[in-house]
This record gives sequence, structure tokens and C-alpha cells, in this order.
Amino acid sequence: MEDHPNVPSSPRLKAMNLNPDSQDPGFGSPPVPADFSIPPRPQANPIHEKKGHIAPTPLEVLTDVESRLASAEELVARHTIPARPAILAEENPGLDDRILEHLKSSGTWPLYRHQARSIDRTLAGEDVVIASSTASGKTLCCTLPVIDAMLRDPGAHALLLYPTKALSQDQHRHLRGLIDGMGLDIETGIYDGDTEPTMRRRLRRSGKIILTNPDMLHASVLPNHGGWGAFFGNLRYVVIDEVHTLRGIFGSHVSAVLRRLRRICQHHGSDPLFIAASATIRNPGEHVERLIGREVTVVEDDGSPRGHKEVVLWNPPVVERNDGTLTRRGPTSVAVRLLPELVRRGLRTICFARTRNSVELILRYIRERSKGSTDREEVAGMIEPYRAGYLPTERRRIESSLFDGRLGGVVSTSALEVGIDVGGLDGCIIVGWPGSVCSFMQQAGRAGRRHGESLVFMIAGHDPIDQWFVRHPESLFGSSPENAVIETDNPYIVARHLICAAYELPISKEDTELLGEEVIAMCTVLQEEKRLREAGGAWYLAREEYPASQVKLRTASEENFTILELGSETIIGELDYVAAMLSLYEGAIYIHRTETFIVEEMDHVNCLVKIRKTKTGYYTQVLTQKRVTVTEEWSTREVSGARARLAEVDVRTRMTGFKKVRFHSTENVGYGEVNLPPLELDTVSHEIALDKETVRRSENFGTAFLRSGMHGVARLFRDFLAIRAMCDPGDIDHYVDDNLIHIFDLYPGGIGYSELGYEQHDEILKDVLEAVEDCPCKAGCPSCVLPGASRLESSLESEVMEYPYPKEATRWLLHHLLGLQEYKPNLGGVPAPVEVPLDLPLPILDERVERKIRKVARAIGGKGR
Amino acid sequence: MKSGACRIRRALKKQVERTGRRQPTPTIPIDVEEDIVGAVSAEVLQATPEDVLFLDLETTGLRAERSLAAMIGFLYRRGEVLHLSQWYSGDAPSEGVQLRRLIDIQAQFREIVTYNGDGFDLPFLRQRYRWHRLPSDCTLISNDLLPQIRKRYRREWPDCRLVTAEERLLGLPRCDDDVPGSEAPLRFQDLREGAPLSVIEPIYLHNRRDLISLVGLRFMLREGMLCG
Repeated sequence: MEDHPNVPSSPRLKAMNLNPDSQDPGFGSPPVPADFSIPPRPQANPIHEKKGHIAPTPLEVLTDVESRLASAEELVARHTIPARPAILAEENPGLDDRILEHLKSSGTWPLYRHQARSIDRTLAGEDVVIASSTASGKTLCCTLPVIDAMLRDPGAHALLLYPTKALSQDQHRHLRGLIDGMGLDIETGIYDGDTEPTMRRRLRRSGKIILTNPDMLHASVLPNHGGWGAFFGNLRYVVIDEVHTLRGIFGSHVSAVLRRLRRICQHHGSDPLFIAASATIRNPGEHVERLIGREVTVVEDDGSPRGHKEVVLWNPPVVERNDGTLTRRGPTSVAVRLLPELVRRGLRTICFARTRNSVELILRYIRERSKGSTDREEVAGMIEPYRAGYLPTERRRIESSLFDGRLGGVVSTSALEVGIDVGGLDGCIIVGWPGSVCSFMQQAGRAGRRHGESLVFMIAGHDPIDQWFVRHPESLFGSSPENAVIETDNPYIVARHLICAAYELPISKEDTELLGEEVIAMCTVLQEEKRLREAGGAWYLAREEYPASQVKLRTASEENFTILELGSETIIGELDYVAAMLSLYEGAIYIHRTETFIVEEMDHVNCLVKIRKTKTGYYTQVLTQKRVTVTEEWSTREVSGARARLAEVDVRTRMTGFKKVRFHSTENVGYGEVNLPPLELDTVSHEIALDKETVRRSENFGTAFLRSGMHGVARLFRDFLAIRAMCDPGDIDHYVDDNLIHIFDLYPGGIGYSELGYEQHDEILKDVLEAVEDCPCKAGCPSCVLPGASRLESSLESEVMEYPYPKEATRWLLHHLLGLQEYKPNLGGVPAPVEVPLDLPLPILDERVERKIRKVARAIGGKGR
Repeated sequence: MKSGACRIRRALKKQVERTGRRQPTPTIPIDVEEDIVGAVSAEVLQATPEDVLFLDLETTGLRAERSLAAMIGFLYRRGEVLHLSQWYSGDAPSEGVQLRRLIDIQAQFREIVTYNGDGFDLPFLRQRYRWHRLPSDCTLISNDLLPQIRKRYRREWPDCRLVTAEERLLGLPRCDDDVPGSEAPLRFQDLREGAPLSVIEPIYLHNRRDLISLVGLRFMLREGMLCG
């Protein structure tokens, strides 16, 4: 330690008990994250304290769990993430002396290597993105340059953007701690939907550092920029935290909001620098460049220390159902046993479930199981749920109880995944694949933020992605395969924000640089649609309105259906247009908090669905027919066995009826009629058009063979594309039509997923083949080529549904599409080859951007569809 | 005065015929142009240089970032007449058009005379110019009469509003049908919400009287004709 050039006796080094040059990782004292204070770690939970026990270490608990709760087959992989010493900066950035003094006195000095580099680049006037692990001190990378700017120029201002309100609250506490710790007088505040009007006025007038979220920036701050003149005129920095969460629909909208922000800054005479912080993803630089529309410097060389972490992949066993069929036990049942066990043994544990409903169910089951045993009840009482929908005060109470050790465990949705500081936890249970490696790492990172040892359990579900990661645990710990995907040219999104931008300032030719080359052409179309009006070479809103209130950043549709329960006359929920059409037709069974309701009326005029509580032994599934029409081909290339094509498509989904499915046995117990207009989606699709040779060869194996294989490939391609695009598989859909596989974005205008599929066609197919070949089943199962019960899929023709060898068909087709040696499927007696000449359908080309803009102009004008 | 009112009525009537009575938001500018004869004495007229522009705004609110300069009224001398222009804009695009025209008009003058212009009209205009992304620097010499009146009379008069100055210095009490300028935002709002165009007629008259009074007040201040 003495040989460190800057601070020989740094508290940070002392706290770590590590020499930066030492090869010994060390397992002693916990590392101190640069941006947080150290709370006292409870030595034991209250139960242990009461009984005078000494809490076992996480590794001791793991040994016990291995022997008592799980069989060797269930714990399929165990991965050790060794402790890592800090890599400290050799040269520190030229921050104001008062900041350096504070860092030294508070034990956060010297800076880690990545912190020093990012601050250095920021001070040099570059836009920067820092991509590093959880608790690596990214916050300081963002806040120190901001405070430095305030010290050098008291007139400077900064805007800090967080994806959620809860995170703004948390980060504001840290920022205030830092500013107050330095004895500075800088006015800061959170400006969001919860901010009182008097505080809003005060912040507008004199706030120097404003923390907000993209939604508030879009709907409240930018449209009223006139009242923020001094703020925007002197805006020095824009900080975007958790930038990896700004992807998909939300990210695409936010990129448009940030362009509007830059335009407003330009108008008021400033040109702020951007500092973005991201979790580890494959494309942090490219992502942020697309988001803000400027080149950025990427800082990735994470120099933060970390503690020893054991990651266990738990694959629940396959069990036999009553009807003799096999199924994999659900991950929830494992979590229900594991979580109380960890809490009982003194490990503060967070359990992540995928849905709000799962959170409630896990806790309910834990409490049910604990009944009759005082000890168990006591443990269950130390576990609380945490999810969106609770009041902010309730959430703050749970966060602080977890932070100071009063709470032993929490079951949460991903709401606690992003940076909210709940202190150093000892254990983390992830129930089902969380959707992305990035999410997995974030969730796993919540355990062991400050302590030497921690445990992470990932309990797999039966979906193909879960099973693929169980078989490829190395994919979780290598370089990230995931790209944050956004679409900055989606005309549906661009047109919406163009109307918002016209409210803020008239649009003129000067705006082409920030809003895009086609801005004037789009304005002309919007003028024809009477949304904008040209006067003196500038475009204004054509009527009095507040367009930002009609544009939502996080959902695909502005139109939501309200669900009203008859009898109690209470509103019990809201669903977006598409989801409502697919699940709230008259006669449908709607399940809410495990209770069943029948839909009595769907009122399209008032967007209201009336439901009544009922007891049924069945649920309903809509039957649909899809038609996909290619409207414009963007790009095409020959690939093995097919032609890959990126195209704009029209997807028309007709609801043909619904079936009634009995709970548990899933047998059909009846059908009903649906009388709804078809859903139309104009989107972008990655198309795989099989060539004649592939089709001809498949004829050797019977007629349903190829179609079954195409369905298998399409379904898995979608799942593995979702991994790479870091989105939910439900954001992408597929359709098989003749000899064509369509993989398309489920968002009007496309969001960029299909483009990624087109670019990484071969890589994704390789993943798919591995998934199919690794699955231990023989003929095909929901963990590989068959649709899972939980997935909503368009109805399959019975010959495909009943085809007995879907796995073999999928393998055969994958070999073709990857140019591998022809695979010989094991089908038993197959029909003799028949030569059938085939003509592939040609795409129809059309010019359509204009039509999209017209659609937007009408859609957000309040008249709806 | 009467002829001015008639012109205004005529202009409004034409507008009604053109756009239909129930047109909720007139977006086409309603301009009144009038050559006024005899509103001020020959002495006052002769003492008013041709490069002086008298300006008075009627706005839809006090905060420029959220309001429009709905009526730009200005007046200047040409020979033996005072030329009055009153340009109405019901929305931002029309306002943009009017402001562009005003830039060209302003370029012909040396001095701009207002009543509280330094405190309200000119900063308001500057902000509106900026919002429309038009050049906002005004090179005219500002002659705001309010501070001069206030300096002399703030201890003697109950207030130094333009109406008071007119009454006490020019001996011109306002007629009964005059509406205070503060009513303008509400009337503009009524018009946008579908009221007939006649609802803003009193605003035109009020603005016209203000501008004519500015000519007389300027003269009195220049010539040192103020008592006290």
C-alpha cells in the first residue's frame, strides 16, 4: 500500500485490505464502493441474535442447501466469481481541490482506474459512456464532473436523468450527501410527477442540479422550456443513468426526446456534454451514440474491486403429472423453499420474480407453508414483497428496512434491479430467466455489493432460453452477447416527436441537423394532415393542443382499455389496445389476482371493458389467423439454403374465435365466437425464404416435415434474437407462410430487432441449433422446439401440431440453413422422395413512410383508430 | 374616433364573411390599416418626426413564453396624417407572420415610443422573436414614457396608468365603452373558443386610443409642457 503514488494510507485501500499489485484476491474485509457510505452489517439476523447463534457464512449455507434442499442433478452448474482487487488510477483527473480533499477525507481516494479515465475524458470535453459492473462507482463518474463545473462556474446547471422515480430518489440522497459533505451550497432537487407545485416553481427558478426521468422531461420540462430559460441557457451536463434500460420502444422514444432536448439547449445558447452510465452490454458506445446522436468515448476498463460470489444454476427436476405426462417443476416452488431457508440462516436475500403476480404468489405460498410453526412464521414475517403499484412511502420503508437489516428478505420484480441502494445483501434468488444477461448480472449484483461472500441462485423455468442458459452457464459470465437496440428512424416515433417539437419551437430548416434530413418533408405531410401549419418558412402546430400529453414513451399504444368490474363498480386495471383485443373480447375469461372474471361488454367507443366475477373451470384462448404481406424490401442476401431479406410488412391478425381450455388438464371444453375488427400492424420483418433446393430435399420426409421444422426454427430464432436484442420474446413475433419464415417486431414501424436478426442471422441460427441439440428430449418439448403453454401463439394447423418429430425436422432445417453437412433425421418409415417444383412468391414493393406519418397524425389527434 | 371604429367594424365584418361566423379560431390575420386625420392638433402633428414609431401590444397573457402578441398596434406620422396599423394574430403561425412584417417596419424608424415598453412590450416582443427564431435585437432608441410620467406625478396621482395620464394631461377621458387592457386576454380567449369576432372589437378601439394618446404625451414631455 505504501508504494501507491498518491495516498499511501488510503482508507479505501485499508478497507479493502488489499494491495493493488497483489495477486492474492483476498476475502477479508468488503470492498467499499466509491459512491456509498458503509452501513454497519448486521452480524446476525434478529432470530440469530435472539438465540445467541452465530450466523453461518454464505458458503457454509450453500453447502447445507446442496445437501438438504436439492439433488445433485438439480444443481446443474456452480460458478465462482473470484474476489478481485481494485485497480486504482495512476493519474487522477484535474478536479477542483475541494472535491479532491473531500474524496480523501471520506475514504474514496484514489479513484478506480475507470472512474479517473471517464472523469478525465469528460473534463476534456468529450461525451462519455461508462459501462461497468454493478457497484463499480459509476455514480461518481457522473456526479464529480457536475460538481466540479458548479465550483468553477456558479452559473452552471446540470440535468440528471434516471429511468425510474425510485432511482431518482435514491440517487438524490447520495448526491446531497456528497454536496453537503463538501459543505457546498448547490441547490438540487427532483422534478417528477410527485414534486409539489411550490417545489417545482423553486426548482425552475433556482435549481442547479435537476434530477428527473425521460417521461417528465418529455411531457413537462421541454414543452415549457420558456420557464426554464436560465436552466437550459447554462446547461453544462446531461447525465443519463442506467442507459442500457433505454432500449426498445422506450429507448427509441428517449432518443427522440434527447434530440428535442439538444434543440432546446441550442435555442437557449448551450451545448451540454453527455455522461452516460451503463451496465455491461455489447454495444455501449454504439447505443449511446444512437441515443444522443453524437460520438461518445467509451470507458469500459472496470477497476472496481468485488467480493467472492458463488453462482448456482438450479434446474428443477422433471416430474410426472397425474395423467402420466412429464413436466418440469416450476421455479416458484423452489424459491418458496429456498428463500425462507436462506433468511433463517441469516443471509439477507433478495428474490427476483418476473411478474407482479409471481411476487405475490411466492410470498403467499411462503406464508401458507409457515403456518403452524412459530419459527417458520417468524422467518416468513421477515420477508416482504416489493413491486410497482405500492405507494412510494411503502416502498421507501421496505428499502430502508432491507438496508439496515431489519428485513431478512424481499421478493421483488425487476423494480429493485436498477441501482437502488438496499445495502449489501448476502443472497439473491432469480426465479426464471430474467430476460437478459444484463438483467441477470444486475440482479446478481445486488448480492455482495459490499461483503466478501455472496450467493446467487438462478432457478430455471422450462422455457428454451432458461434451459439454454442452464446448459451454457459460460454464456452468463463471458463477454456480453447483448445489444441495446433502438430505432431512431421509426416514422411513427419520429412523427410523434416532431409534433411535440413544433409545440416547443417552430420547426425550420435549421432543424435538419438534429431532427433528421427528412424533417421538412415530414412537416409537409403533417401539414397536409392539418397537424402542422407552415408560415414564413417555419412549421407550427396547426391547432391549440399540448401534444406531449398524448405521446407515451413506454407503451406502443396511446389507447388503453379500462377494465371495470360490474357489481363492485370498481376499476381493476388497464390494458393496451392490442392486449385488450386479444384477451378482453366478449365471453373471454380474464384472470386477475388468481380470480376469474367473464367479459360482458367491450365498449370500443369509450375504451371500457366490463367484467363480472365468475367461477369457471376454464380459461379462454383467442384463435387467430395471420397474414403477412411484404410491402417493401429493404435489403436481401443469399444465405445457405435460403434468401434472407429485411422488409417492411403488413401483418393482419384476424380473431376467428376463442377456445375454452380447462384449467390444469388444458383440454378444450368449447368454442366461442369473436366479432372484432382485425388488428393491423405495419412493421419490419426478417424473412427467411427457403430456396427451391431446400424445399425439394424436404419432400423426402413427408409434407408436414418442413412446416414443423420451420415452426421450430422460427420460434427459437425469435427467442434467441430476443437474447441478443435484450428484449422480451413477446416483443417479437413469428409467422410461417408457405416457404417463408417471418420474424417481425411487434411495434408499428419496427424497433430494430428484425434488423439485428437480419445482421446476425447465422450466429442466431447457431445458438438455435445448439439449443435443439443440447435438449435431452427425444422428439421435441416446450424447452426446445415446441410452444410452451404460457406462450400465446397463432393457431397452428393440426398437421404441424400433431407432427411426431418436430425436433428432427428442426435439426434438419437448421443444418441446411447453416450450410452444415446434411442431417439425417431419425423418422422411422418415411415416404419416398417426390420431386415438386416450387415457385417462391415475389414481394410487392411500395412507398409507405408517408402513410405512416398520416397514421400518426390521426392516431394521436385523439380520435384513435 | 368614429371613423376608426367603423373601419375596424368593417374589417371584422369582412373577416366574418370570409371565415364564417362560427369559425372558432381565426387564423388569418385581421389587419386594420387607417390614416387618421385630426386626432391630434396640427402643432402636435408637426412636432412628431416621421421616424418615430409608437407601439402598443395587446397580448394573451403576461408570460411571453406562453402567450401571443395577439395584437400589434403601431402608429407613425406620414405627412399630415397619422398612419395606424393593428395586426391581429389568433395563433402562433399568424403571430410569426406579423412579427416578420414588423421587423421590416421597424427598420424604417429611429425611435420607438411606448408606455411601459421597457418593462413589458419590448421584452415581450424580444421573447416572441426568439421563440419564432427571428432576430430579436432591436436597434431603435426606446422612448418609454411611463418612467418619465412616473417621475413627475407618482406623488400626486393615484396611479400613473396611461388612462390617468391621458385624462389629467391631455384632458381626454375614456368613453364608457372602453375596456381595460387587462381584459384583452379573456376576450382573445373567448374568440379562440368560438365567440364572434365582435368580442375583440373593443380591444381594437382601446389599442387605437392608447396609441393616439402616446403621440400627445410624447409631445408634452418633449416640449416641457408638463406642470408640476
